[in-house]
Amino acid sequence: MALSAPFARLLAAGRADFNARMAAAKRQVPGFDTDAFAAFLQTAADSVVVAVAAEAPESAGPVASAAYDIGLTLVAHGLIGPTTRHPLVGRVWTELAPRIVQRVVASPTAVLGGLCNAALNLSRMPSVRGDIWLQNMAILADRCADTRELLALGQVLAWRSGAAHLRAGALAAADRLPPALALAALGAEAPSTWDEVKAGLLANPWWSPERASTANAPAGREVGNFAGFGGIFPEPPQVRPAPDGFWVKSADRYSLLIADAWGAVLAPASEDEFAHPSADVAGAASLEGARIVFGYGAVDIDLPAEGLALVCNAHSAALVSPYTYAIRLYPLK
Amino acid sequence: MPKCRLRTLSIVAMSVFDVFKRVSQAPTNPKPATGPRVFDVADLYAGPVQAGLGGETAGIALDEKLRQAYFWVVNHAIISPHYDIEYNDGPAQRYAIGDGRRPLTLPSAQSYSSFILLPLLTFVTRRKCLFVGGPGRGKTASAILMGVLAGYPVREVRRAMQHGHPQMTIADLLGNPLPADLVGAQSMDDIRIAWRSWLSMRVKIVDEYNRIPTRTQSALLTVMGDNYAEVLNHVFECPESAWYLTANDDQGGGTYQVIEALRDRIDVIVHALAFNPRFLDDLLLRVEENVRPEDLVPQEIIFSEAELDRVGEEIRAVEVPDDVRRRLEFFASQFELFEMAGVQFEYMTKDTARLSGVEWAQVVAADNGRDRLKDLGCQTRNGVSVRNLMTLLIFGKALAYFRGNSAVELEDLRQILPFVLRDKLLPDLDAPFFSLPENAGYRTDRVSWLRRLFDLACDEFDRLDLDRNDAVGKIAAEFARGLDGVSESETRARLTKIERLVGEYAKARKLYGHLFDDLQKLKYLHQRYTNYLHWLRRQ
Repeated sequence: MALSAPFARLLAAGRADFNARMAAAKRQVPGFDTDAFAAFLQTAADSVVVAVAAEAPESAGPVASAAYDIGLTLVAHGLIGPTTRHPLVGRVWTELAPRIVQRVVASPTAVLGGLCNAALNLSRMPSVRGDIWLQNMAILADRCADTRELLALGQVLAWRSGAAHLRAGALAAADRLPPALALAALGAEAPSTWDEVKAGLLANPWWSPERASTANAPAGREVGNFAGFGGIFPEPPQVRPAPDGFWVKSADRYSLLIADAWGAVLAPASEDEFAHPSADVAGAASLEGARIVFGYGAVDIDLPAEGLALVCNAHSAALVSPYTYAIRLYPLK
Repeated sequence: MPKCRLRTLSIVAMSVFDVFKRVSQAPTNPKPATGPRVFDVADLYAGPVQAGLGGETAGIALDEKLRQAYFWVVNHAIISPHYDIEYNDGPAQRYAIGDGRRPLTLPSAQSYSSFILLPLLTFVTRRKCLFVGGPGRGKTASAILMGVLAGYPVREVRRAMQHGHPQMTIADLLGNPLPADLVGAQSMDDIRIAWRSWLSMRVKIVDEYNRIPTRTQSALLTVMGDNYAEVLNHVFECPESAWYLTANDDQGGGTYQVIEALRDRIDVIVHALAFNPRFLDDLLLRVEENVRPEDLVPQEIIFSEAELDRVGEEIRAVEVPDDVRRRLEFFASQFELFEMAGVQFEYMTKDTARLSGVEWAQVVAADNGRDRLKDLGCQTRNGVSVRNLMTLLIFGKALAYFRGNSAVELEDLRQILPFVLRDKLLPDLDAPFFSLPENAGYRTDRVSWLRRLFDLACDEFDRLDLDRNDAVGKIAAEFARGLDGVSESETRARLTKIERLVGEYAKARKLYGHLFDDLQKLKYLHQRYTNYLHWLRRQ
């Protein structure tokens, strides 16, 4: 694939400088993949430079320079190229950045670099749907008035894509967005107002404005699975209540499970934290044979009754069994 | 032209691929959170690409900043691939190497290079560190880096460095009276002194201190020990400082013998180990990039005076758990006893023997009855001083703090101890321990010997089961609860308990260091109860 004419011209104009940067990178990073870098320039960087050259030709130079430097870093860390485990990073350049030229032009390094970091962080979290984040960003990002709004939007959409641990910060970020954009970011349906949606989100982590109109009972979610099949638990897990989630123990690994309507994330925890759980919320839900009885109804369980354990915190119930490596989470209301 | 090309390349490399100025962004020693979890949504944009969104180090904990400084120095400034401060959080891989079957350990937890870590801990505790080792090993460069970490420009640090030489006078070191004042002065008070600028710095560097004449060493001792300088009755009060001294030979070689008091003021001694030519490519990079690490210290790892004050407070707040403290007490108890040196109980010490002027070999020859191989006290010519113990405690706390812990672990003490006692606890190389073939290496490797000594003391502590069976500790704890309201009969009962315990110890006949200290403690407690009893009777 050949470089576009505008990008080729820019690279030729700064040839000595660009070559020197490349040489420095090669010297400082043994095994620097020059083929991957060339591919990055021809596809990812080129698509951004072409879009900028068409819309704001006077800014194409600084954007090309920033893209070149970011590309060096990405290749040095193996984050881009045919063998990368994080293809979402490359898709930021081709599917998102060309749609937000004005934001890229305003702060090329901050926007392109920040979005690459975000894509990398999200793709490192197996339970987060990075492609949904990118898809929603591509739809909504051009509604942002400045870089600050763009970054806040990315945070809100990361939460909605499953990064439940970012809930509090993302909610604060949504508060800084124009109400219409905040509602769109959270998938709220008309005629909701931002104040109503925010109140609902603050009251119950299992409430989602996407489902507000249908008011169907939440189905809960399954987290974990056997490490041998790509999951993370080497043994059937045990759970204990934590202030905003559950402490989890599986063999010698300890985690903090945080879940809400949009996703569930496991963060590292310690043995000491598992040994000192919060108080179980007694009476919030109960096991009756192979059924869990909640305030709003009962759920049948397709697991043997032997060894079932149900633990509740303020908002959720977690069910574990010696016959499964997964944790089943249910909302209490 | 090539020179010009390199210069351009270097400038570009600074701005784009700035490996020399990069500071670790991820936690350098990640640990599970101990308080309520806070997930920062801003972290979404943190990563390998320097996006310049700011706030990367805002609110960073100072222990993390300290670790960032360590890893910057070890990764970019001083090429020291010697991970001689080893930690394990599980089984480590061990190999026996060479004809001597010396152990090589691949540690299972984050381990450190003493040559970088000890100066850094000296920096934050504002103590005194001596670098020893052959020329060209990075001793001075390391000291200069510490000055830069304190926020001083490199040029200022270099100019303030004192270079020891045989003609160095007190005026060279401290400052001169102004010549005009000398001529016209009617009294000493009229003479103004032009103090040397290094005296007011928070990092003080004395290069090749063993080349300073003895008289000037005494002036240096005043500054090091008492933190002030005096010339013609005028006094300059120095700020609390970290000191770095260098010497090519730590055994008193050099042009002048270093006076003992000056050596005693040094808190830790660090050996600059040899350069590993396998890392020549790193040196080549510096040559080609025309960079000197001390010129590139990132702003993020520079400590302000207020930050250093706060680090000092946080280090002092690190807890030393009782069980760890007890093992240090037990270790320190091993060395001062010298039964044959005194007649009265309190004077049966190595210090008594040393002060008497009688030849060491002659006093040792009189020693009998003890198992000189088993008794750890027989391996040394002296005991551990109060200053050494205080240094051990502060550096143990500093190491625990550096590792992100709120309490000192036994391993922290074990790792730091050899660097504190290296020049303080002197081996008796004629002791039977050193004549065993398997211990021959300890005759020259002081660090390993001291660590082995501590291990042996801990083994003995375990054998005696002192963690659970510490009769003297129980009596001391009872006393520590206070005498308020303790009746006469209770006091008598406690006195009897002490006397009974002393009697039991006396039956054992063999006296070892820890027993000697336990008996002294019992005597002290007995005396306190006796005095209290007298007071009660007068009421």
